[in-house]
Amino acid sequence: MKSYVLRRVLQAVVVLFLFSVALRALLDAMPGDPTLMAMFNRPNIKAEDIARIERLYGTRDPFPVKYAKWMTMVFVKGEMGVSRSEGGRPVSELILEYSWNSLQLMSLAFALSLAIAIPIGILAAVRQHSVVDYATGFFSFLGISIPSFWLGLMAIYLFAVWLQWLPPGGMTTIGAEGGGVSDRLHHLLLPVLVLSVQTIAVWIRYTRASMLEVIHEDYVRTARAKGLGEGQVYGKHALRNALIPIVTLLALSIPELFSGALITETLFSWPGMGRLLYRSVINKDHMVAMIAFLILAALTLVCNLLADVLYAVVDPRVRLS
Amino acid sequence: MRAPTQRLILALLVLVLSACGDDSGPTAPADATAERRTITIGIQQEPDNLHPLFQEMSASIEVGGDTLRSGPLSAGLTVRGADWVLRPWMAVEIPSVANGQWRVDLEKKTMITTWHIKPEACWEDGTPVTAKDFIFAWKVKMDPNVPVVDNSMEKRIASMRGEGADQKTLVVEWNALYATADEGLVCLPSHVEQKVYDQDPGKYKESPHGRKPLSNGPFRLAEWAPGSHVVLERNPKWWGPSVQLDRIIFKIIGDTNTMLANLQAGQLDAISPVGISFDQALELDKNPVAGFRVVFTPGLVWEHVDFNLDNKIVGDKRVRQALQYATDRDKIVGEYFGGRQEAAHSWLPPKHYAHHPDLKKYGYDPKKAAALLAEAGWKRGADGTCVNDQGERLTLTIMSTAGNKVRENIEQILQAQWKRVGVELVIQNQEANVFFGVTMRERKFPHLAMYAWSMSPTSDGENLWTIENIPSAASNWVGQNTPGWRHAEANELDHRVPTTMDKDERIRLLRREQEIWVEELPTLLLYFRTETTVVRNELQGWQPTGTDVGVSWNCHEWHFAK
Repeated sequence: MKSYVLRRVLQAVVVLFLFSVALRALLDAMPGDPTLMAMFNRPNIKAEDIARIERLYGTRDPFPVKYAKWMTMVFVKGEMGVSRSEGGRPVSELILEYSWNSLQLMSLAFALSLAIAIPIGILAAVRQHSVVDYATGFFSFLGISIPSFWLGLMAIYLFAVWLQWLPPGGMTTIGAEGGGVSDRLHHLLLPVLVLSVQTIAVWIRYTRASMLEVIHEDYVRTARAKGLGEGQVYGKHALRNALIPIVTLLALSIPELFSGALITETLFSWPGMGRLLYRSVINKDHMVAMIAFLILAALTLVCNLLADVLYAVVDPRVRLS
Repeated sequence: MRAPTQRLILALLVLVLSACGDDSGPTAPADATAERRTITIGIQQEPDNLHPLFQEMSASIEVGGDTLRSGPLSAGLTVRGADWVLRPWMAVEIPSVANGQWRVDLEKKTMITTWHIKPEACWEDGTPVTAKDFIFAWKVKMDPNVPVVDNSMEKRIASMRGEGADQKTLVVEWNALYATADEGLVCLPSHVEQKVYDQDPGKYKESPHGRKPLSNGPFRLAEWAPGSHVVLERNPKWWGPSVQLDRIIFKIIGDTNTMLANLQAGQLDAISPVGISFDQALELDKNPVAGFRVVFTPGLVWEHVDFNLDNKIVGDKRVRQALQYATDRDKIVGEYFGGRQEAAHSWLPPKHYAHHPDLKKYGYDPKKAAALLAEAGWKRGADGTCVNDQGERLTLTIMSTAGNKVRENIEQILQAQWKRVGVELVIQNQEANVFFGVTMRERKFPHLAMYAWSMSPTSDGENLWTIENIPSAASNWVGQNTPGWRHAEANELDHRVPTTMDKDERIRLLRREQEIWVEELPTLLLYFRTETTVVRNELQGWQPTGTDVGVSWNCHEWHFAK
């Protein structure tokens, strides 16, 4: 197991390196430069000004030079650089702040989705072909199909504009004293609900499928034949096995908690990673984009490994070698 | 298995709740009376930087201003408000030849301007604003290691010095004639910034001033929550006329539909010029939200379509004039824009000092358009599209910024209108960075390109219309004469304007230039964009400028009527 983990970590380092080269190359390949664009609208710019700006930002450097400069900055000097468009703020500070905001939003939505989806998914499987199952199926597909921008807007109009129960966005009541926990939860409620609708629908389908697979297995029939009650059959024998693939999916979902959700964050003016990532790409803020995507890639690799290890832990049939 | 799941959920909840504990909300108290002394403004973009040397986005000007475009955090020597008249702000008087503070040597082509800074003018820490602050900013802008985009004005300055024991007099010696030397100069709090700059000039762009500027304006920065909001509070050391409000809150709302929902939910008192789209403003004007009014302000942003004059089809003046006659701008302005935008009859807006009232006007006249096309050798073909003697079809390509709904609609309107005179228009749009950063900069558009220039109340045509400003590889694609217009007389006139000190003479030159320009038509005339804002009816003093000066230029006057 130890050697397996070590090997996977080494593989991950190589993958990350290749990823960073490809990422930088892709970012560089995007045409247009924000500074040159800004200069286009400046009436008095001369050729020497463009040359000066290009020299300072290293715009004309060949790709290997650019990449080497970036690697030296990050891995030799230990600096993450500063953003070109977000008030010149340090990249580390930006990423910490925005991913923390995303984590609050996403983890609540995630927890809520699981708390609702897993029991419903189980129920739908246990009562297969019943009214409950069909109703669940109908609402799951509805949830999956509704675009989040539409649902978000409708939720804002219903709860914020019409009923005026909840704020139409933002993280805190600006200017109100003692915002604190209740104020933050007040602001979280709508975006969490909108985000959850889709994830609940997806997780219901996963849980139902996984459970259905298990309840037709021999050992479940055996358990029932042993004379165990339905509660014990489903709770102890079926559910434990049905949750094995779910655990894997859970581990693989962890990076999403940090990467945020662009559309929901934009609609609800929530300053999360989804928006930061989008802006960094659109504004060609390479320093931010490189570090943010690299961290997310690393997180994805770690969670992949975690999923594999967890699989071995929860499923005694799997042995890592 | 259920117990661990529950524990996981609980743990996540605890994690989130504990996160909410360190709430970094604003600190100022809010009570019933304080409510009307705070204004909340919705803004679509977040400021990129509040440092006057490095800010690029108009949101930064709206929130802070800079010392050339005064705003809540920044007072300049002068201020140009909603009436576009230049007034002294930090300066006692504006230098002029009459008051002896502007001396011009026409032979040597040099000038000296003298500014007296108001004795009471100071930064938010109480340190007086002195000549040193201007000299420091000038030196930083001239440092080749500092990535300042535009230092064209500073390059014309030969030297600067402070005079008087209090250093409140600033003497500027110019190495060139410069007609708008009375606009003002940039200043920075040198008592703080000099140290930051000295540490590493190459990293000066990272100065904390960009995120927490030291204000010399009526307000100071209380909080900037990235991606969420910016809170300004009254500057206790403000030296100018009295300020009515206690706080200005800018709420950053990226989605314009959410912006409207915030307005309807009573969360906003106003929407900044960087707020909703023109369509939304029109809709809001028709179906108003109770208690709010939409303000339309004629602006300086000139929407137009450049012809690529190197192309043989649109290089023909008759074709250009035909296309202008075939464009029904009254329909565009009247129906599409609800009469709220202004049709352009020249490249200078009607409020510009050199506006020409008697220029040739191109009304909608499809017959004249057809006749001009026929004269240029384009006759209607079998399918209605014009063809020439070589059998070539009159198919033109128009390019613009993808995703800009208004421009996309105008393109379709042009497509339909021009089809009536036998011109086939192909639309080919690009993402803004590519369109401006590559296509327009390098003049890579085949026939037509639709975009806007932001003019200023003192704009002249030197950069836009002179031959030396046609972008080319040799000049590293510098210059704004993107159509590639070459006209000897206009070229000479446009070069003379910026160095002509006499305003009446400048007006004469610019008017003659416009007469030539309208006849030659290097660019298709469309309209001047109107700036739209939304504001609560009770708010007094809301005066959008329509220029690059933010609506917050007179925020000290804002107050709610009782």
